[in-house]
Amino acid sequence: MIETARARGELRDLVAAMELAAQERPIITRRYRIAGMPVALHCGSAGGAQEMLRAIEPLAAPYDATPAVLSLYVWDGRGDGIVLPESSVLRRDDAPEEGLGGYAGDTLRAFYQPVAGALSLLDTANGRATWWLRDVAAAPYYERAAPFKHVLQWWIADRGGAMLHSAAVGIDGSGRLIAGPSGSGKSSTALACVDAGFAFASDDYVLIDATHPPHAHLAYATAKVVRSSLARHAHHKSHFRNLAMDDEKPMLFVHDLAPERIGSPLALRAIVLPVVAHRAATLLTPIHPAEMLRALAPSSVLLFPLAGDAAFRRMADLCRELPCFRAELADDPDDVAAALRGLLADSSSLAARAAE
Amino acid sequence: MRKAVRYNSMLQKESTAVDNRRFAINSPTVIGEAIDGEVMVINLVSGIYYNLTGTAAAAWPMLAAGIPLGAIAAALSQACNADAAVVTCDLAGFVASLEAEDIVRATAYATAPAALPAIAPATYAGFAFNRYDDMRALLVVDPVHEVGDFGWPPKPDPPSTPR
Repeated sequence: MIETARARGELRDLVAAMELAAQERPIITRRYRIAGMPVALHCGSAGGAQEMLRAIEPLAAPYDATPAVLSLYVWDGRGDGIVLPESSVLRRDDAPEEGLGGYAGDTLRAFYQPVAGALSLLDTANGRATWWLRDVAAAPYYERAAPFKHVLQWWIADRGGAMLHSAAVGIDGSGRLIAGPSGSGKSSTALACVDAGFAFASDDYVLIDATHPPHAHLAYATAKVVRSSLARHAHHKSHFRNLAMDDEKPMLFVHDLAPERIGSPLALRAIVLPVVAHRAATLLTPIHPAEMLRALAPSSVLLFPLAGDAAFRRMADLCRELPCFRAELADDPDDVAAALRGLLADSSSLAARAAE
Repeated sequence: MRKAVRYNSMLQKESTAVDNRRFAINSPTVIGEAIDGEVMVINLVSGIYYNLTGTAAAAWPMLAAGIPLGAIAAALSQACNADAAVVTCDLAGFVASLEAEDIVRATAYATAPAALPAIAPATYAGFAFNRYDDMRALLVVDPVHEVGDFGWPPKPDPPSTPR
């Protein structure tokens, strides 16, 4: 975290520039429910800002008249004609050579990604935020898959929750959090479960609230798979958006293939750590909370500047509260889904074994 | 990559003077959480994370509270029924290692109420922690946290200007 008097001043200047843009530029306002809370997205209408919202489409609440607790302005810098002021925050003057280097000042949070050309700003005091992209047309696909995730992480962490680098699926409102680093099988497991009739809350980033039991909320309806596993997902081929882009992970929006399985919060009952094991049958084994936290926390904490401490505490709470399992995966996706379906019935006895 | 570190000088009993140095967690760069008899520690800048087990985990809350090393060593040696000189020597080595990793820093004062917490009796096996650096790739300037089939993608060249 970078918190200096100069940074605070420069952050205020950035906020002022964004406030001016909000007054001067034409915008289109859309309403959403994110983690159950009313959110207003104000998109610059001269550029391509609205194109970045596909991943949150199932969260749209167009008739919600409740006062928004988060007002987020989304700009296409090139298309909307908004140039950021000169700022040490953008030059990352005070950022460490290593580390993400988010800037904080009083209630302000800021993080600039120079390669993606994305500025995230949030003022927790008034719930106003900005996500500025240098050029929507050139935005990396992973920003389309998970737009303004830093804003959402700061916002949910300020409310005692966390955005986790995890998948989440469920049956009848009962959820399983699927943790683990990239490439561990989270997406494949989540898609196997969707195919088997599970509700979908995430394949990569999920919002966890501060309730007990904790609830998982959809942040993005995106599912991405590694290219080598495409054969397993051949039945979804028509839904993948970017198959022609060899340097991108194939990506689809789950509401395109199963719209009825998206949107409801899931009361979490277990955390699962998948391991690609090529077994004939998926094997679930209880593991200790500390082992699960080691799998869950590093990527979730390190991906998000300025929210690490609060998010880390929430993750530790989850690992203490919920039974934790390692899932050595079978190659058969139906078997994987069946194992997770049966987990709820067995979780009490398995958790007791874990405590032994 | 995981690297195990252990301080256990059972065979090097030395007479050690009382060590009154105090330390504090190097926050906000470093965060730690005790869970299930272990402590997980993350350095948010370096991306290196650690798990402390056994006596090291028992020492963590006392270190974090700024309790003098001598008092920590005395409490641990009593709880573990171990030689105080050995524990003192091992603790000093352990803390020096934490200091070298920028996990703790020296401080002049206690940072929390100085009462010693209850320590569950245990067999003394020295101070051990594991160091993991497999997440450092996340901490590139522009976090491209996507992996291809063969691991992390190369970091692209940044544009010449942020605008």
